[in-house]
Amino acid sequence: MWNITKKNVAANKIRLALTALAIVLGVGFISAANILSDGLQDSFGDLAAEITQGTDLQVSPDADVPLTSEEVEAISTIDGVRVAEGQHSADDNTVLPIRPDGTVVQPSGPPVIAFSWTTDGQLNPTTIETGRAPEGPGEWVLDMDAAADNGFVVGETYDLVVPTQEGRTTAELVGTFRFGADNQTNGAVLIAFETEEAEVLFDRENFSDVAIATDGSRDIGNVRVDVEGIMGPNYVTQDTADLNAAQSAEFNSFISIFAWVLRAFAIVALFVSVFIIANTFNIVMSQRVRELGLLRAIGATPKQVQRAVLGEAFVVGLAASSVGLGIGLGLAYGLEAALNAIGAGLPDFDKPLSIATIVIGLGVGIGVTMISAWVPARKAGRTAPVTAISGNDGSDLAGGRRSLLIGGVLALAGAGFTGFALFGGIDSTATLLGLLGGGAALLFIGITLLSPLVAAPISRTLGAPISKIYRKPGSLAKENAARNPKRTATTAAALMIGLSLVSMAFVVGQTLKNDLNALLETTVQADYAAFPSSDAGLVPEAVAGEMESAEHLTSITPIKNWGTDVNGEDSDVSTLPLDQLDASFDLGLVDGSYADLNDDTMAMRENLSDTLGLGVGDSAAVELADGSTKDLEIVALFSDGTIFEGILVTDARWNTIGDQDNFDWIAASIVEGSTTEQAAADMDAIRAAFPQLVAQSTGEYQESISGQVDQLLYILTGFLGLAILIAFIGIINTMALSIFERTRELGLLRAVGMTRSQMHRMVRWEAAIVSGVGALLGAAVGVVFGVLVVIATPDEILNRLALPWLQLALLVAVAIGVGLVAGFMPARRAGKLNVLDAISH
Amino acid sequence: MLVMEAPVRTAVAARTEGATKVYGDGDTQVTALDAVDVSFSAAEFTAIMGPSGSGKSTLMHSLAGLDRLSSGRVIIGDTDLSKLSEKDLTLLRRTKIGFVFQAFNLIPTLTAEENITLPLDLGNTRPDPEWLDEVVRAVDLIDRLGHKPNELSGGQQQRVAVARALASRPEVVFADEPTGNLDSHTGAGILDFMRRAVREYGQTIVMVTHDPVAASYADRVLFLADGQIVSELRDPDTDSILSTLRTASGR
Ligand SMILES: Nc1ncnc2c1ncn2[C@@H]1O[C@H](COP(=O)(O)OP(=O)(O)OP(=O)(O)O)[C@@H](O)[C@H]1O
Ligand SMILES: [Mg+2]
Repeated sequence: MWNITKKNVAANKIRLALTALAIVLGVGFISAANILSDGLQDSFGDLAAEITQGTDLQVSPDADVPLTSEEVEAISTIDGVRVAEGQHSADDNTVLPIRPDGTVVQPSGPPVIAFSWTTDGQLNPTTIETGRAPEGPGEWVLDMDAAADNGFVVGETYDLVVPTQEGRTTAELVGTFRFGADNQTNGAVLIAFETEEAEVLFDRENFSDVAIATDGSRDIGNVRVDVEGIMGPNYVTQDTADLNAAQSAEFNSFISIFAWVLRAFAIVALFVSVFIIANTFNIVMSQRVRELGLLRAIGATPKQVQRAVLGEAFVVGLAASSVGLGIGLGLAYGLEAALNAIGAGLPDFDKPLSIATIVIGLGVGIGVTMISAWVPARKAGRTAPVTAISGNDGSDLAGGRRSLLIGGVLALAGAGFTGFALFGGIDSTATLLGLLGGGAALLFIGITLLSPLVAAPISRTLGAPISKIYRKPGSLAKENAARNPKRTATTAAALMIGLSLVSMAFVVGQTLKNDLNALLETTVQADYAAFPSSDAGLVPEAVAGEMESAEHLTSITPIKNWGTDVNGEDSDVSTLPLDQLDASFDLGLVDGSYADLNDDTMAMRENLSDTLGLGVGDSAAVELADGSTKDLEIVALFSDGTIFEGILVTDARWNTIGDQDNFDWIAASIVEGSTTEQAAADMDAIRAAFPQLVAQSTGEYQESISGQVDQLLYILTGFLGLAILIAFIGIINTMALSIFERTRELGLLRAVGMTRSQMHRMVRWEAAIVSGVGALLGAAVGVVFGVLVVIATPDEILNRLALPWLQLALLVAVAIGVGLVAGFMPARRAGKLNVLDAISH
Repeated sequence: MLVMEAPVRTAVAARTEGATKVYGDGDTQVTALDAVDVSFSAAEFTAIMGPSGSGKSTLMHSLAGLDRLSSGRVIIGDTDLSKLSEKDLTLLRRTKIGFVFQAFNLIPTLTAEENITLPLDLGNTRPDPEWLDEVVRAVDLIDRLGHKPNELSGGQQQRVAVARALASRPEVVFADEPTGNLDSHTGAGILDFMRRAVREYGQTIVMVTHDPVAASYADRVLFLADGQIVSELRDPDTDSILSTLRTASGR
């Protein structure tokens, strides 16, 4: 039978090549994800080693406990410790150098990391390149590449953004340094200050850790035991290996999330491939039914026939995956460039083709192809010998009622899984993703098996206007799309999958924007907001004062948030100047009055009070910073959770709970009679001094958030583009096979007077209608998914459902357009048919 | 061999001049048509007979504009096919020529009626309702018009094909073994109808057949051998056809 397999592969080269393309792309993408992930892990692994290699032991707090020079002293006295140094590090991107032109240095991907200069050469992973180390206040050093790239010159004085109440400092750049051997920072910008200066500038009371170098007189393990003994259970002690492992794990968890996101798209693409490969094999088998019947008639067992078909799949899978691996290598570079283009800021790194990548690529490619061919192979094996004589009627191999039944069962099971995932209150992310992914896969297979029921009517509906416009070629296109609902359904299903995910994202995106509009129209009364440009950043306290004295700004409303515990429930606790509450926000007061707020009372979001079973007049225990609790009486309930998610207290009360001098953000309004331009000019003046700020009017804020939502949708659509591309390859393939199958019919049409261009039009519009069916099904399924996601997501994130009808209509229209393009190749083939050859086919 | 023209018929629906068709080259060269001069008068029913491989189908295909000659000319009405572009040739097939094949004449997705009007629909021209009615009635298909081909018998399918060939009132209808796949009774019905189309509506029909009985429905029988017309019979009957065939193959 192997001979027959070989001959069949050779005879069906082009058809199989198109099929293989799906696998090539899927395997390529998954290999690219693996290659990138390997490369990044190597690169960051080296980084982790360089960071940690000089530190023999490191102590860091494991609870809210002090770590000051007192503890450092104690550690220093331990036998075998050569030196112990307390170290400070700032939150990423909270310290930013300002270029002389007033712009801040802040790469889009990697962070700006600021730390205290460690004086001991062994403990310090960096070495001075030019100038000298920072030795006191008003001095800083910068890594050599960042200095060169941004034009910072040793000896000059620069401003820096810092997380103090002033938000800004001025210091002389006294030197540049090299990190490790060749300053491989993977794109991060490194800044250091003298230790005491760092404590001030980073707004710290405690060291973030103490680094220890031993003198070699004792085993490090024994020194560690002593350190642990002195420090007690509230501190952790790590040796070099622990630190390296922890650092690598931190990097790797990020890399692995990133790689799995890429793999998720590859998996969707491969899932889509299953449909189109199964479809191709199905059609090819039904076209070869006579030959299969003959094989059976001359004594081949069903198993042998089945094995011959699977052998074919194996050959295709092997060839395609091999090509896919090669493509994956190229794709890794392409993806790197694409990701950097959208601001991922990846470092330079090698792209190794590891054995694991090869094995996974080949395994996945061959596996997916053979699984796809499984059902067609079984059906081929079951071909009755008599079909060798009778042939078949042109319809694809049997399925019918049974496949509808299976489809129904799978769809229900899939719906059950996804429903449970969305509404079952599952905590584990892995379980949740597994249920969602598995459920969606089952649902897709089920819907595909059921869709022949609707494929013909949808084709006819979509085709109706086309046959109006293009008359006979149009109506023939319509009927051709409708004539084999199963084939049309399976072909369209591949497209449905990709587009349903896109549509779902559109629904979520539209809902986000709708929520945003509602927030800005009803909840936010303020006209302006100032907030930090990076996640970890805060608005310096000084900014509030600047805004107060700005001529065109009023109702300055600085806001602080912190986390606490109310009657055992996790909750946000926020504060703002209460006299500005009404001017800046409308939180939707449900009960009580904000006027009764004082240091012993609070306002609470309705959502939380419902959970706690409390109302106005009741009291709840709020956890304070020192760990004790304080009963506060609820005097007001509000419904909106977008600004304040938990409880609202006075500033004095807040300071007993939270520990933060700077603000999370500041709302403000434009003075009556002043223009937006004037207010913007005021804000710009303030921003010149505090470049870490973003200041936006509500309109600008709305635009920027909408823009971010749109950008996310584009990126997502871009990645799903692979699956969509594969679906269109499927359409081309099916059309080509159908054309081949209808050679005589096409010849007849030409004989009785169909022109070549009419034939082109007919074939192209058939492809367009099949795409349209896929797009419509996809949009419908996507809307259902999207609605469910909106319902299942907490109201703070997704609340007011909005359906993006225009975008969905556009999606269907674009799909139909792309279908027309996809039909081009089969149409050319059909047009090239020699009339006579076709008739005597 | 001289091709005789009936003096009463002046209008010529289709003719060839030195029609030659050569397939392949070198050793494998086959001359399927060898300088054939033939003309088909309007409103005449011509049958073409000859042994397998004698060039009958080739002649028909060349006449119908489905294939191009190696040399010589085909003239339908007063249009020289050799001068037409691919597109004009298609349009000519649509309007001036009807074709009936031995089998697989119908588009499976179209109903009988849609198949009949297909050439007209492709040209966006409305069928003449009276004529359509006439044709449909003549082929006895009125109650089958809404059926798809797979719901029709072989004979019904061929009748639909003939109706389609006639629907656009072409200059000439070519039929390549239209009854070859039918039993003799069903075949007789089709042939009878084709003869009536010639007699009553003045349609010109050229038909290839292997069956002397079928050929006897024609006004004239041409005998082809090795790509040349070797003999001709007027107002034939089965016996005269059989004897001519015998002499022709005996040569
Ligand atoms: N496409 C082709 N390529 C090469 N030779 C061809 C081709 N078509 C026909 N021939 C040859 O031309 C000659 C005439 O063929 P044609 O089909 O016209 O015969 P026919 O009289 O219709 O035969 P039959 O009664 O079997 O249908 C034959 O020798 C045939 O082999
Ligand atoms: Mg023939």
